[in-house]
Amino acid sequence: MIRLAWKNLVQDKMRLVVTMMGIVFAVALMMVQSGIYFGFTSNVSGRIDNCPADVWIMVEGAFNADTARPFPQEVAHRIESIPGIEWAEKLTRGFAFLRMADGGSSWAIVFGFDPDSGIGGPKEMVRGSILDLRKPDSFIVDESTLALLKGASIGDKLENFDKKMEIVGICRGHKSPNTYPVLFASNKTMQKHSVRMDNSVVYVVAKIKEGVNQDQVMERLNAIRHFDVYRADDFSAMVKTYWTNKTGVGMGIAITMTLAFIVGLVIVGQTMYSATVERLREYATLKALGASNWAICRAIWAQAIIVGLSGYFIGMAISTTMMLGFASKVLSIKLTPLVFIVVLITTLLMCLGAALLSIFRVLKVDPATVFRS
Amino acid sequence: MSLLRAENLYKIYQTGSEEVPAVKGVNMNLEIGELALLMGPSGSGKTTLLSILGCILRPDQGKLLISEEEVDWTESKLPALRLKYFGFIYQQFNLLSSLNVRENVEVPLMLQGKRGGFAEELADHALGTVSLTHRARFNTATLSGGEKQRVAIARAIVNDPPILLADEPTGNLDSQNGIRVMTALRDLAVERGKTILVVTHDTRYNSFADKIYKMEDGEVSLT
Repeated sequence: MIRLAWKNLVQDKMRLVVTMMGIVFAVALMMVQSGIYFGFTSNVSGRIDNCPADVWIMVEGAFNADTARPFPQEVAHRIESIPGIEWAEKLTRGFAFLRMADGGSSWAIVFGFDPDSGIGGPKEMVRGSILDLRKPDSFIVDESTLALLKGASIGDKLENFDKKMEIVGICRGHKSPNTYPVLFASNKTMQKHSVRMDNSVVYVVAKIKEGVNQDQVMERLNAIRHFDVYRADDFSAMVKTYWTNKTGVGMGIAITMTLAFIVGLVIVGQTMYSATVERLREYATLKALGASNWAICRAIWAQAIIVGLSGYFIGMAISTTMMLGFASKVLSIKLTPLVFIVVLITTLLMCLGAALLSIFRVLKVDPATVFRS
Repeated sequence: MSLLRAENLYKIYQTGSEEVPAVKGVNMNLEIGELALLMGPSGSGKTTLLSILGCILRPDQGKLLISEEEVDWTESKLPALRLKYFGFIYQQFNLLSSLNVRENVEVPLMLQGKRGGFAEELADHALGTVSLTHRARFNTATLSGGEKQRVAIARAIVNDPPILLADEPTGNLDSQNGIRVMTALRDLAVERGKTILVVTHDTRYNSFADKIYKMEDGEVSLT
């Protein structure tokens, strides 16, 4: 039946092309939207995901990474002394207001950390070293946001609230989820340059010792009053969920993907159905010859799977090339194996769903019609 | 020995509030190696009767016996029964347009799960029986009407069913091709012991038959 399915498909090449175009369009749209979505969520939780800490501790009430309030850094010492904690690091986060050489200005997101440990710092350096942040009033900028600083480069000094700061390095992997440049600085620089950050930190991240009962350590951490404690994975998920739900990004992408699915379903369904109707007499002949309904269903499913898989691989190749080729330069895109698997399953479901109409029609065909001329 | 026997078959169609009996109390008996003709005017119920005899259409009343075993009309059992016992030949040929000649002949084998070289060998043998081996790779659209009908015959015999049911097999053919097809069917009955029932209007083929049934207003009589 697979051979019959294949031969039926390739007999009308124009119809096959139209069907494939519908699938390729749907697959490409789903892939691009998924890539953009995962790229976006990976940006907003990038600092958490790149950090080797097991737990994140912050003042209670923060509902995403941006809304955590500063607190006195002495709390970090209390956390460090809790049994079961291997190490604890102080991280800061704030904003800078930069004035560029050309007279323009921009807000910037600044992540503060201890350059000696590197924990909570940039994922990958392109130029310079993390240790260069030991230099007072220095910062590292992510290459993706360099353009927002109007072509500034290493050694340039920018004004931040009337204080000079020097670019000492360029990093990679921290695209901004909004239009602000992303900078990294030492905690000391942060405390000096940011408003109300004197002697304060925003997060304490900690590593739990291996072999220790993690739940017990979490209980001890949770006992600190007025602080929230999250496992790194939970905090990352919370931040992603916040940005997905509260910004409308999730809804927008869900609507686009649903539309892609529906458009693909309609195109494939319509072309498969018309092809089936044209062959009703042949299906009746098969039934009269002794083909069971199940055998005929298999032939139609096989057609759906063949066009689904072919359309998926073509759509995947086109969208991946497009995304990794030029779209990644302007957009944050992340293609994970999960994206490929989910889009593949969705595509097959779309094609099998589209075949249902044809199957219902064929099941009703009376084999006795073959005797009528 | 009886291979296909019909006992008191009835089939009534409902047209609005009116009941139209298409088959009325039909009794038939076809022996092994016998070629029978079923003749009658249009609308006499020949096609309905052929559908019942081929286990495609369930009768409202009566029995159908194959090799003295009564047919179980459970819907799910009928396809396998048709595949095992019957080969069908149609006036419109009903070849599958996307498949070439050999692939068309292989269809019943494919439905039986036979494929590959073995299926090809059987298909070529069936095509040899109707002298069409040289057309095995041809697209069926390029064949003449007579050739198409011979492909249909090859398809009907490829899995060696004991019974062939032919509905106006010469209806779309000129007289020369008609005679070739009837000769091929006759040979299958005589040489290979097939039981064949041919529906036809054409009295020129009477000489090919062992017996002739006449059908009129749903009733069948042996002439």
